[in-house]
Amino acid sequence: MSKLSKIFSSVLNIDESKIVPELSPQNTSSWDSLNAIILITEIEKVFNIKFNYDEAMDVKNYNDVLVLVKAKGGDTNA
Amino acid sequence: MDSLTYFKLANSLPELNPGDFSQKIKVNLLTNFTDDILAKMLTGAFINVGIYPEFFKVPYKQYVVYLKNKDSKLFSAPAQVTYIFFDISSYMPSELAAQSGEEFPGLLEDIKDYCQKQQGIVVMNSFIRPYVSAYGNLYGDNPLFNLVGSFNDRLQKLAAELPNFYVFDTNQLIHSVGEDSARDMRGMYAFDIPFKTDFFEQLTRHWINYALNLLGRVKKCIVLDLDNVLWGGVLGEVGVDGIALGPTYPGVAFQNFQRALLEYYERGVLLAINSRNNERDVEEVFSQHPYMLLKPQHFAASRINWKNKADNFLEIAKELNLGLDSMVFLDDDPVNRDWVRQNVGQVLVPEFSLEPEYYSKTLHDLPVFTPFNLTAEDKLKGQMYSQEKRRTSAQAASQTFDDYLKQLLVKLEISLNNASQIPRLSQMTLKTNQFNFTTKRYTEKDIEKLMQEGLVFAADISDKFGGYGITALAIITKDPGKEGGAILDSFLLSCRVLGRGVERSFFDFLIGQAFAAGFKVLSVPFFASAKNVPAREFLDKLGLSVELETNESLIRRVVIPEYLSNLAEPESITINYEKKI
Repeated sequence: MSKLSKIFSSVLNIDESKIVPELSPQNTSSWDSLNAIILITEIEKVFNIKFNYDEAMDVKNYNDVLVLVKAKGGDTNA
Repeated sequence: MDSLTYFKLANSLPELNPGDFSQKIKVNLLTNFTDDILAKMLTGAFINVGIYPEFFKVPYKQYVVYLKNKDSKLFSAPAQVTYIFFDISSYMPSELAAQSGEEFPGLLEDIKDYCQKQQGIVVMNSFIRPYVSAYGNLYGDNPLFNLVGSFNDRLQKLAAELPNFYVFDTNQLIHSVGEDSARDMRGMYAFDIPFKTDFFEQLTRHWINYALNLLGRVKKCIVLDLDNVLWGGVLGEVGVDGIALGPTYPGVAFQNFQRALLEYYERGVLLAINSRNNERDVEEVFSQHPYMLLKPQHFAASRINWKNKADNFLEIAKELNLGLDSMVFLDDDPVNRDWVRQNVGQVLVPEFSLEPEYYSKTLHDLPVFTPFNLTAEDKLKGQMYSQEKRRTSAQAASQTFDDYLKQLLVKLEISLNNASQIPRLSQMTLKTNQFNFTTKRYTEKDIEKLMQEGLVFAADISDKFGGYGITALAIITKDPGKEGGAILDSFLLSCRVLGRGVERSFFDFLIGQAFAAGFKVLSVPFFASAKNVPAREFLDKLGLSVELETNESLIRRVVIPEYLSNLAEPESITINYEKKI
């Protein structure tokens, strides 16, 4: 399990196999506003990166997160 | 434990069966910010220690309404623990700090009302001192700084006034982690979550310690390795003169660690030794080394030998009548730590491969000892265990056990419904596990109420070697369903007084008092717990008839006049009872 998918699986309480690029708040009921905040803070902590508010709010699905973490220098394969 | 694990555990809550948990807790949470993350963290932390939590969380920004309205769900939700955390900062205006804090005294009155209506305990965080402001370094000129100071003073006064209100020192925690790693600026402005997840996690660890105490799960004993823990170097190799202990580094770090351990001893935490060494060599250090602060009398039990440390643990637990889960083990050797973790897993074994200058801090950072107020008995406890060692040697020298008991001159000073003993009596119900018939946990307020409605007997026990303090407690309540009937609601004795015939004398005394109070039948309930086998053994020896027996509960019956007519006079124990009405 990659670090990123582990965070999503733990925070959203879903199986790792369900974590696909299209995963989004629209198709995942546990991806609510509270868990969205938890996802941001956990990702920042684990990858030692920082998002600004707009970046975090622009995230529409799991693929956006992958792109964003990579752009900040985080290793999404780890 | 990291925050992700706590979130994961919290997510599992809906799938968990409360019946699978041996302990449950009702929690009320009251804050002035978005506290969903804090609540989730706390949920995970409780599940992590095997406690099923039930929360009532005051809705966002409703805290004033819920405190002012005495019919609110906050007042009607009975909680064993209520956590209150109001944040004031120099970054965001707060209604609490508005108009120079005029609202605060009224709010404090509401909190007081709430505490008086709750049977459980209320833990409130002290206000965080604003460390930065437009006033620069001139704290005295910063009105908010002064306001927070006066609020915190008022909280302390309230804590002195109310038996179930405790102040958690938030500034101590902020001081330890640093304000920068505690505050979350983006969270504060964007979501009204003014703290980082890591800070919530740290806070949670301290908060659940209050609950663990209430549920009788406090650590009571620090078990120590010797070489490279109490002194530097391996005694067997370098000898008494070669060990590092004294005024210069690294000896000074070891010496100050001993000083810290002494402070734990003073506050009633027991110390014990579990070390691979030659006992003669260690005795030499104790008697000859000029910088040893710890003396043999500070240790309640010692195992200095070449046996395996796990077996030594079992022996220490037996000798001190303590559960393994009430012990903490400090050893610098990773192999020993691992061995103990694998073989006596209930013992808490923190990482301890450290430079000696970090020893004291590591111990202080463990939030596992009681956060509650000290009682006189706590301060005496370490001393009493060491008197127990002398008693055991008197036992070895005397001929029969009966002779020994006579020589001991055991004395019980019994009092009834004595309000000055309430803190100690509550503490006894919280901490006593092994010799406890019903293991009912009571707050100070509960005890106060029981004194008004029933008979609360407490015994101050002593013998020729010294006093044990108040170490026996029994509560008799009227049985509403039975004419002339009473119930032995609680019967418990501290383990350190067992085995002297005290439990029988105290029980017989109670039957006499129940008779004097006009009762004819006493029901004696017994609820089995993981630890109270010694109490069950005693109960069985009394040979009482069975009133009710199911899988969950057992009730024995004492027909009082009959019991008293068959009573033999105890020879070796003196009972003094002064009835104060």
